[in-house]
Amino acid sequence: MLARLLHRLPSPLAALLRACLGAARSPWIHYVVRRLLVSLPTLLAVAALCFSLVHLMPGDPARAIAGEKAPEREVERVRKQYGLDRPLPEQFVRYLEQAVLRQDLGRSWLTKRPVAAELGRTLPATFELTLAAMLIASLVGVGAGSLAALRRGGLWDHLTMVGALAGVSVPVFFLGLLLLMAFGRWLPAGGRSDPTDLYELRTRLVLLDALLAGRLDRFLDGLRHLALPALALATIPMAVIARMTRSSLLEVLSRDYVRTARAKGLPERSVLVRHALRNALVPIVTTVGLQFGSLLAGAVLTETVFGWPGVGSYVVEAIARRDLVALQGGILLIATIFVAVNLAVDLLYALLDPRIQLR
Amino acid sequence: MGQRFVRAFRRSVSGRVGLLLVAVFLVVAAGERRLAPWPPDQVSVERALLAPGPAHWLGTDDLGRDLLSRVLVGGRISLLIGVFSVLVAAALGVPLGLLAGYSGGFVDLAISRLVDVILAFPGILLAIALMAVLAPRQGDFTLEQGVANLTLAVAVVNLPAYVRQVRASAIGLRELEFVTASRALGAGTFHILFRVLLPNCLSPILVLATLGIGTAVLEAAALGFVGLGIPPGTPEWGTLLAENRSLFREAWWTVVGPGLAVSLTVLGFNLLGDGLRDALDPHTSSSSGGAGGAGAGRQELP
Repeated sequence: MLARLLHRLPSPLAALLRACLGAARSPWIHYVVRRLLVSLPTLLAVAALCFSLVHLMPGDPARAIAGEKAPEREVERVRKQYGLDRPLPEQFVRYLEQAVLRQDLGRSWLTKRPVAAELGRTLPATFELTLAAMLIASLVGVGAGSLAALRRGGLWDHLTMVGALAGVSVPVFFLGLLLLMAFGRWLPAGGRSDPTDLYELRTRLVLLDALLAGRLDRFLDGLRHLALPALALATIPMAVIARMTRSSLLEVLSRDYVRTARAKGLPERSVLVRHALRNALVPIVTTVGLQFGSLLAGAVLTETVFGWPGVGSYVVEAIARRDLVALQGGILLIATIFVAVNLAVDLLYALLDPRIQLR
Repeated sequence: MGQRFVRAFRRSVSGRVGLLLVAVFLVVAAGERRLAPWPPDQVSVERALLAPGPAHWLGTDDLGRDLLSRVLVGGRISLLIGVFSVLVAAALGVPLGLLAGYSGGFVDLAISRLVDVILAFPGILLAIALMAVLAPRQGDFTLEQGVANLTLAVAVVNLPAYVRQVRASAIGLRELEFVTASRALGAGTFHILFRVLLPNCLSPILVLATLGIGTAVLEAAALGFVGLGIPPGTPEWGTLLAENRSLFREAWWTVVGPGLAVSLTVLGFNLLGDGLRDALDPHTSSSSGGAGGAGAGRQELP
């Protein structure tokens, strides 16, 4: 049936279709589709959990919106207006519909502003902070871990491992305060460089926008604001990446092909970079990707310490004011990003490592 | 096994240092009221913001309360949450993991999906969401309630680790002969799960639980820091840090004491967990590099 249909189509179109079908049969595409399908129920459950935040709470959400002292009539009006009088499953479907189709996460109970817009405003700040932390963590982590593996048992190895252990033991909010104590004299104590009045925002990432606008002074200012929070946030992933790099490289260095490469008389540099590090990279890349979650979680705390105006600060403020719709939106956003990133890491891993079984 | 374990553990430097730190903190948590040099809530205007000295080893806060006493009392709360949340997580996670790994099929699928959903949240964020649901909307709540809520929230966040670890062990064990044999002898599922499988996957659980207490202390402190769970004014470590946060410029000691307490406790449990892992499982040992084991064929090149 399909073959006959293909036969009738004009030949270029048929060729294209055939190519697509061929690709769809490739194990990787299969894997991608399957993983996407598996992620959907997870996302649905995440949304259900976030939805139930407002409804499982003790107390009446309509009263919380209307205010403690509002008359009963006003509470009833709010209940109708927000659809809180409908059955819960219906409310959940409506919540999903609005969130997915209209990117509408409801209005904050307190400020009455749309939560989605507020999150859209704060997300670039979190993104910039996370990206900077990721960069620091990967560069330092891979560098320190590699050196530790190469000088195994030496002073540098011990220092790195002790540092890595300390890195995962110190709470990020305490480290933030320590950094402020040490460098607060030279660097701004908090907040993010605000360029809105100076030039047109294109990416909403201060550093990038400053560069695009050719404003070196603003770039440096942005960097000064970013340095401490990014460093604080980077510690835990840095420690994890360093440990992973060390053990991965140590394993690869003991392999036969490294011995062969050395026996061939290749220079040590080439052995390390082209043979060892390249093969050790697959688990490292995966670790780096998976650290994104701990970064997002850490961002909530880091942003609080440094007054960084991102999603984390927004969430913590929502807790303090018991603004559940805002909290719900923030958590839904972070969890969705987290699921998406983990999925991307999984797929990338499957693509990078041909040995992985795409079952 | 026992003797070999003790010998291996004694060789591990991290294990010994970790054990020492953990022991110190446990003793302190047990006798905190007797060890505290001052009543932890005693306010005194003339002693406000004193730097560390002979009378106040960790200094005083802006209300003149002795920080060492507050840190000591707070340690009891933090360790209580750490230990109990691990117990709750293991009590829930181990049976679920055994069941998933042993039964397979639909039961496994259902349990694994549940774990996936929990893992879909970055840890601290799920704890924040749970605390928001558990905490009463307004009005006062007691310290006991707060500690119970925190324990539960932290336990749920760490549940997946136990389920996954035990599930993996159970899958590896279920086709082995001694399991088949007890099934053939007519043993019920309950007997196989808890009398046959469980004793054989205890060592990874022990390592996980030790490392887990550190994580739990860290998470509980983080929740306290963002103002969740513990009533304000209680000397819990995270809450102490949050309270004194604004003071760190003029009085650094107000945050260094509680911060160091959290860090050293977590470090202690991490070191102890590493030491236990090295002693219990020589194959994954971080220090011995696989030498001496049965599969020591792979020698590192000079």
